[in-house]
Amino acid sequence: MEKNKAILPNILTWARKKSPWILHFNSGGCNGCDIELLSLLTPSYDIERFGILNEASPRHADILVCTGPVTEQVRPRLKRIYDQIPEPKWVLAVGSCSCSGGVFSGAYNILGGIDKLLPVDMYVPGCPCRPETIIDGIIKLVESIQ
Amino acid sequence: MTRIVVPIGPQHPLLKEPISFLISLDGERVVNSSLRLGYVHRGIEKLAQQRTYVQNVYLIERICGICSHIHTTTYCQAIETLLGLDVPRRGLYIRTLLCELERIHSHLLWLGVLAKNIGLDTIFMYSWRDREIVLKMMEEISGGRVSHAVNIIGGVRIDLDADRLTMLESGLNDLNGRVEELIGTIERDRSFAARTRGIGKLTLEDVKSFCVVGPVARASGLDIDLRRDAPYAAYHELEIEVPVMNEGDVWARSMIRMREILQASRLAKQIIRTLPKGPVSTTAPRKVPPGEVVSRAEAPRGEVFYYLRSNGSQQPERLKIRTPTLTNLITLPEQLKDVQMADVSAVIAGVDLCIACADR
Amino acid sequence: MKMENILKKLIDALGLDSPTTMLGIPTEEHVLQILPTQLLSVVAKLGEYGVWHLSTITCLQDERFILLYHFWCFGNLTLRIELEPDDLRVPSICPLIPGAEYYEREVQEMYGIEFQGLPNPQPLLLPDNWKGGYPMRKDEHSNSSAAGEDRSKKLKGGLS
Repeated sequence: MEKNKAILPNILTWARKKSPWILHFNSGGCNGCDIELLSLLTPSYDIERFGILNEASPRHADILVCTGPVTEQVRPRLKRIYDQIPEPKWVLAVGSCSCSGGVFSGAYNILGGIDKLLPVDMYVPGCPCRPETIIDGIIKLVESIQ
Repeated sequence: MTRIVVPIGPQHPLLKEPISFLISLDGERVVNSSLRLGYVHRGIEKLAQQRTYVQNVYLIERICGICSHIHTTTYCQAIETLLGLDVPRRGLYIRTLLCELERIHSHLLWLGVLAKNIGLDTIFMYSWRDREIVLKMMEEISGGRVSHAVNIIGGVRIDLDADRLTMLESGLNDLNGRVEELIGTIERDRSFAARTRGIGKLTLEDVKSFCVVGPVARASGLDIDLRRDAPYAAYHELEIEVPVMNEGDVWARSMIRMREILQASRLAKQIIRTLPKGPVSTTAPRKVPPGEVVSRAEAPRGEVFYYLRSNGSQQPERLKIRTPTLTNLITLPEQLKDVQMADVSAVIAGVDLCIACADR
Repeated sequence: MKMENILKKLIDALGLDSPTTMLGIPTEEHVLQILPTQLLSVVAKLGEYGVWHLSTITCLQDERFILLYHFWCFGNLTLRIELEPDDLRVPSICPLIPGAEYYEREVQEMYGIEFQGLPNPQPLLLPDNWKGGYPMRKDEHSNSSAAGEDRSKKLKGGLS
């Protein structure tokens, strides 16, 4: 029994690393990163070979992938979606405006980057990011899971 | 009978961008629907008034990632008109070439989204695979897959050499074959027809009264296309035929867009064959003389409208942007009336929404 | 019918001032200055002559507020209305052109111009909890860094 307790967290970490499911949310971006993120699903990039699945419901996801800066209207929604994701959870900020507000910083309806609202685990810069960059970001995040 | 209200969005597998629908149902039938925009509203019009004309080219490109080039085209040609600049013909041709490549990219992307929304994942995979061809071509000539940063005030930033032109020509030939195959598939496929025929109907009167633009209007029998009717860039020197259909449903819109892909590829080939020689850009002054200008262009989704007012400084005094999705969105409650709940996804996809454009 | 002929008929029918022009692509845009009270009759007449496509409504702020109604129908026409700052009201053209609803709602929330008879005066683009006034007005600086700091403080308090 004692031995099992020690093994269980290892198994869970192993399982999480093997199948990180992502939830994509556009928090106010221009679409550029979104279409690059979606092209990850297609045959040219095919992220499913890493066990990554684009999931539609926050309750099934491990990683929240945000594209775009946080707008005022989206802010409560983003917080709610983050709260709905079961622990442990990670946040990936994709794109320059998602990292810092980027070109939109200073606008009246923009709060700034995702880290103004949520704890971000990995930043993927680029305007817009290439699909390879996004894959790299997700893989690096998964590798960092302890 | 009690009605059920189904919320769709802002985060929903149907929607790639946040927008929110409230759909009231009587059984399976939609009786009423409303929508809420503004989730992606960034305040670009205000922001543009605080930056210089040159900085704005970068900002304007980020209104929308799918049709980024048409926004900078409309913006740059507005300023060029105010300045009275004579943009070199080669520059205009390259600008037009990118517009057409972008149209191909946008329509293939849209076909994938529609197919995914109605459950035909195979077509989604095929159309997005073929889309990579045009993305690669655009990357090869401009350095960017979805944002190209090709336009500058006074022309374009890139030039095309003979190798690139050969690459483009062979890429377009490759693409043509694949698009024709895709068209054949969706024309013959019974399940595609069953999910798209007769739903999301708009009559010619609806289209006129709601000021609808682009392929949605052309699918309802309205023969407008700014490339032909108010030519900008190099379009007055090119041969354009505008596909028009009368059914006004999602099926007709699909067919219109698929034909436009072939048409865009023909236009691109025309441009490659007749590309004039000379410089691609001319130097533009930083300050713009006072004045007002209206600029229109035909984006993949329809008419883009820019109004620019200058007060003689380095910053625009007012920049008004109206994107095609905003006008086409108004018709959605009309289109959703009386459709089955299961068809809502097809109707929403059929309009080809770009919320980032609509919200700005 | 060509836009020039439409304009001529319109001016004769309603006794309006002669049009001016502003720059446009590929041809110049005709600008017709009218009074707020004439708006509905002009738009109705335009509808009769077959001009149905309203591109958008632009609002400008000078000493007065200016509304520009940009029409397009195989030719350009812009209606220009000036409004005194103490009377920011115009009739809504939604009954004549249902497609104008979003444009009017946008101008209403961005500049505070009241469109009388607008069927759905809910906010279009601004967030539900917006309290910052009319963001597009020139005296409105809700995007200053002070506002940003204020917001981040609020958030830290709210996130635990």
